[in-house]
Amino acid sequence: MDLELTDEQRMISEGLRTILERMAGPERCRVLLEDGAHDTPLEKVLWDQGYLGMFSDPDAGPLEAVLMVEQVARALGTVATGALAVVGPALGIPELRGPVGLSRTPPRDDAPVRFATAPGFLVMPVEGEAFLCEVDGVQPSPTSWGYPAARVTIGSRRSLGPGSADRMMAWWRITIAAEIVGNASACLDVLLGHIKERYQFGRSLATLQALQHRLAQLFVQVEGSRWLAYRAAWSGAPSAEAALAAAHSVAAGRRTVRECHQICGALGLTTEFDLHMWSMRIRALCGEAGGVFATQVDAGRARWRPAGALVAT
Amino acid sequence: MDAFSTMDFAWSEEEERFRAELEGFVVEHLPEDWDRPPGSLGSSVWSPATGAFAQALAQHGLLVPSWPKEYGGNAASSWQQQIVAEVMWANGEPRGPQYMNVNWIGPALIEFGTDEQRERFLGPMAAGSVVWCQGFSEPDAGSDLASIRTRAERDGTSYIVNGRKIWTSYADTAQYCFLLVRTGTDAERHRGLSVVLVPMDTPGIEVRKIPAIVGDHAFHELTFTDVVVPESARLGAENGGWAVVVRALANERVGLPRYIRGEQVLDLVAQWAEGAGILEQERVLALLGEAFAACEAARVLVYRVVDERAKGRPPSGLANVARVAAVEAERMVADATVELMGEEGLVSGRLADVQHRNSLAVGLAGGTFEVQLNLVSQLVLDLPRSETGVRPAGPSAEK
Repeated sequence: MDLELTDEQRMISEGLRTILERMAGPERCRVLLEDGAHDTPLEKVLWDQGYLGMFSDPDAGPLEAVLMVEQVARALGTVATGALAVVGPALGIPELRGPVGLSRTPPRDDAPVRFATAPGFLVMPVEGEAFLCEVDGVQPSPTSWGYPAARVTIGSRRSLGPGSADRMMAWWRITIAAEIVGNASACLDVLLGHIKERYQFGRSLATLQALQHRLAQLFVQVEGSRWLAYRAAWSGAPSAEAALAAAHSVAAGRRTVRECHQICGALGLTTEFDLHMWSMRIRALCGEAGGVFATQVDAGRARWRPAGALVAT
Repeated sequence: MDAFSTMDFAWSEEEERFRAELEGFVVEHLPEDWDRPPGSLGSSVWSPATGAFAQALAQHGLLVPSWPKEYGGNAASSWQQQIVAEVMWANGEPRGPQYMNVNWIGPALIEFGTDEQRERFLGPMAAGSVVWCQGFSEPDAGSDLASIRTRAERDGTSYIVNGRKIWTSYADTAQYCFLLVRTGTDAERHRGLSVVLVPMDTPGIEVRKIPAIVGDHAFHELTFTDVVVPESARLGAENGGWAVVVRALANERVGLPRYIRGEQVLDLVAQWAEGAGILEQERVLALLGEAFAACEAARVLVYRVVDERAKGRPPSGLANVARVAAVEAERMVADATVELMGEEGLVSGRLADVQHRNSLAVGLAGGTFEVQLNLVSQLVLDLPRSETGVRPAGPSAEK
């Protein structure tokens, strides 16, 4: 085994970091959210530089694509990396471009789909098969959850083959886990910075054991999620591995949101403080995954009832 | 052009062969009446069965494979060492208390011992014919190990030891004690400690068993009254015991593979739920799934520590991260077991009963959960010490 980033992976990450520092981050995210827009310029650069095409690249692979998804999430990138760079190629449709949505059932009229903000495509599973659906109409949905989203009208669709639904679900779960880990890591960074800077009762909050222990437990849960997601991606997304990554990361995500906002106090509730940009995204991702209970049910089902129907994303 | 290099989560072929060899050995040598089926607690008993098994392992070069060849080992990798631990835990730890010798007492002797000490002690350890206990914790010094009071006063070329140790496992069967004593002043804290290697039949040592609720694992209290220990029994420098203890505990914490047994227990609970006709219920699957995910998270975090060690890196906070995850997972397994088995768990010896009682100790033995959290905070998150007086590099032990 070799459980740390290789030199090549570090180089990929370093190159990506340079781009994200220039083109992503809280300020860029704020601008995009006002318009409810997918970040087309960033997407173009990520395609041009090969980052969105790593899944099938012999000089990278699915794990590197998932690492990229995590890193973009951490930098508050507003690109549908999961659909474009992981789920699409895994289903044999690497040609997808733009704000592609993923949905677990034909979306209800009032349910917005993350990233499906322009006519284009949406991928969803129906009765065991994943379908590439044309999105005829979109109605952008006002949302505070940090991602552009819209209600969609679906037109024609084509099957991506027998058994493709399981494949889609597994990779989708892994990308959600990676996105949660990326966002949660950023939340922890914000939180650590906050408690080191803030003094109350004449002492730094960072010296309070009551807070230290909560942060340590949070870190351990996020770290476990990170490595379960990496392992699932490295393994080629077996359903059971994907289910474990989803279950652990969704629980970690929910806890991260609660703890970060509690410990950052009222400051964390303001839009001037960046915390909410990641924390709201985490909660949206947890919901998209199906929530804590459903992902845990599926983790149990994947081990002890593999033939049973999944209840979460 | 070289192939792209990525992480690797797979065992190598050599490691797979090693595991298969070890599993074959276990099938062949486990006593027919071995009473530790999968999912049961690891044996903590030094019995004819565990003794014979450990010695058979030793004869096949499988008891201390990770030790250097000159001390009876095979210079096996850290990964192979982990495989040994996994296979033993999957089979109810048929080495009994030998894992202590293998994992940290022996390595501490290799690192800090004199030639004479190595000659005398390592051979019997490598042969699986001796049991050691570890005298660290005291009635007034558990997590705060640097405040121990058991004194070793100089008397010519000997020390006279007086004091008490507590929570000592295996003291009833051990032939030797790896004993932490104060050779300096109380004010010197960790700079005034030494380790001495003491035969348990030395006059003046009294062992009292302390009844406990955590399975067949017994605690003991040791009382030392004017126990004479020669200077030659000191391991490492006088007042240099802290370095020995830190290294021993770093080895100790690497990873009892608790996730192996936790997953066995969950399989048994699922089997029970199937029989009870409730496995299809979502609440059942959720409880099992949550705990299973926690076990796998602990597994992969432990593997990170093994990876660090295999690459020859110094111990870091990763071991504490893995330990926190392992404790959380084991508690979750026990809670799921108790909640699902309901009244059936009240019967003594049933799975839920055993798991619950065992889980009460997992956040205490080998360093409390709170100390692990302190160390994660300080070593990994780079937070300052809190005002509790706990040191960043401070080991702890409740043994």
